Amino acid sequence: MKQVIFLALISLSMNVWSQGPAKVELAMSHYKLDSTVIDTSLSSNEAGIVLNAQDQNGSRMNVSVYLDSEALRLAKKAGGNNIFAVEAGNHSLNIFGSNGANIITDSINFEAAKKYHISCRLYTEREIPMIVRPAKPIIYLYPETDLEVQIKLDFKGEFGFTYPHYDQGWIVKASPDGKISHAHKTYDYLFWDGEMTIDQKDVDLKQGAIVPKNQTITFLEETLNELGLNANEKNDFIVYWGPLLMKNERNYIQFLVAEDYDLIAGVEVQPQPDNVLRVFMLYQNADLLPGISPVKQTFHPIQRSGFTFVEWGGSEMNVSMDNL
Amino acid sequence: MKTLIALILTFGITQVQAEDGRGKEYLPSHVKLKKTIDDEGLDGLMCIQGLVKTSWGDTLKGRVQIAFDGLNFKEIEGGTFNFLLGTKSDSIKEITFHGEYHEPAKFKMTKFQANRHLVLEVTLVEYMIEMEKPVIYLYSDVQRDIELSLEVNGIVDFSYPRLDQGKWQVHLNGKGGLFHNGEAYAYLFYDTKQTPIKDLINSEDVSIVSKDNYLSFLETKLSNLGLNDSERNDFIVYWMPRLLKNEMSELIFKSGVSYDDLAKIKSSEKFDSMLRVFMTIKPSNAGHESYILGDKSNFDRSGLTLVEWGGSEIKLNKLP
Repeated sequence: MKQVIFLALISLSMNVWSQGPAKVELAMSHYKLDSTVIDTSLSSNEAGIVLNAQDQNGSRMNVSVYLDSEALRLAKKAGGNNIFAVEAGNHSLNIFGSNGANIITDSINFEAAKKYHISCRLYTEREIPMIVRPAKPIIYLYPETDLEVQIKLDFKGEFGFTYPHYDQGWIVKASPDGKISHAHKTYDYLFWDGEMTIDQKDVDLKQGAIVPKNQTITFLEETLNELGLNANEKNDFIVYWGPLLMKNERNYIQFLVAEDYDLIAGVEVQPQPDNVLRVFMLYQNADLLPGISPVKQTFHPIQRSGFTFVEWGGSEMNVSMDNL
Repeated sequence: MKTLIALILTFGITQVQAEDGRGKEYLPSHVKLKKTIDDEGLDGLMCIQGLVKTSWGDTLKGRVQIAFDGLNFKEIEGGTFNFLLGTKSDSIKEITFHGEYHEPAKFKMTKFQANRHLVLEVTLVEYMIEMEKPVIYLYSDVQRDIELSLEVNGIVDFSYPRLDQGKWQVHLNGKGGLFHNGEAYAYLFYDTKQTPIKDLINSEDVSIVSKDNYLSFLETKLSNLGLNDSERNDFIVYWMPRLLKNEMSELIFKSGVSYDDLAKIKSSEKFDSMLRVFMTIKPSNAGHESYILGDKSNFDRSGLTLVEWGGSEIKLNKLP
């Protein structure tokens, strides 16, 4: 899964790179051909390559270079560190840094008796912590008959407010009309919120939508309908998130549905529901995410037969393109 | 001599039209020189004294900080101030008065005046804030079509379903269902901005509650006021996370007719029963709690019933 996300991010960033602002370019491993100089000390069928390689902290490091992708051909060192001699002609270089990061260049035409100065920044993949504050996750329970239900959340953050009080889990009595009894009081839903840190790279910005302010409500209505929320649940969702979303002119919105919700919190329900609908909305001011062009997510409404469990929540994100 | 003194002081008063929907005129925060008194007894010093008032004329009892050229802060409480300036202060050009949730007021001076009292009247105007999430529930045991409109003391920012020319056309199916343009909703919702704080805090029903007791206080208070389990539930999960950011809060309730200061509801049908509850949260540093829980209401929900709740949060200025 990690790998998929990583690949997705690479292709996303490449995409951004070709069209995006300089700020974004610097965020990924990259290289630049600085200069070409004639060097008569080289033999008539040889080109020289001088690499200036740095890691993400700007420290210089040694690299090894493989030529072309079809075969692992180690480039010949020609004196000093990071100086190589290659046969004249077209080559793409696969540059490996001592920090384990690498980059593959486009095919470059290396002319004989010339020396190519190339600088590259090789970034290792690292965690980019991002705080998310799941706000207002609400759980609705719809059993077929009165039912005692145990719910345990696998939330790797710190709980804020829970209502009724979450004491390492909830044990409640649920009724078919959606009413939930807990310690002699009646509730319409179970509520929790909190704060946690996730790796920014676990959010796949290729999925989602850019939604202008004036289309916010229509977008939410359509999506929530598509997911199968009922009028009540939809209403609760929209009046909570609508005003917050509409503080921004444009939002990037992504829904984490079903097992994707586990990124925020997993859940264990006893007895097991027949149908589970979990929807978590991530959003961020789209102006802070320049150059992304996400693909619209599609959903299928859940069946509401048998014992149904519905949960929704959301959080604002603070993805920084500088870090990606 | 008197006129000369008046000339070296600038007042900076301009008339503005407040956007509070009622067309009342407010002055921005300002300082007036009421009088000067020569007093040899000051022994070469200068005295600045006076009173801080709110925009509706009464003394501002809360905390006010006074800054001299943005430095050397003095804090006062209770509305009156009185301080002496020595000759070393002769470079002071500007005195700024900061309230907790007020626009600051500035007083400019150009010259140190030995042996003189300047008597000032400072008026601090409260910022306008949002009225958040008023939710309107409608209950009827028979089918009805109702046209509802709002007369708010502010600007409606967001509504759901959307107000159409300031109106909701609501169908109640008599079985608990509420429809607007054929779509089902659980309740009607609106948000306003630009509500004057004075209207929000103008209430006798004020409690001071500490963090540990927010929940039990609200559960009792709201059920005493007459909200049912669902309404109370919605209220609590909306406001508790916000409240928990404060160690202690002043909770100001407006219900019944006093809610009309904030928003009036006009309806094509007469309601048999109506319950409206609005809570304003203000961070507090009071030393002890005090509750007004009220008696258990005998709110009768028969016939066409409207229940509404909302709230707002006063964020205090970070005083220098």
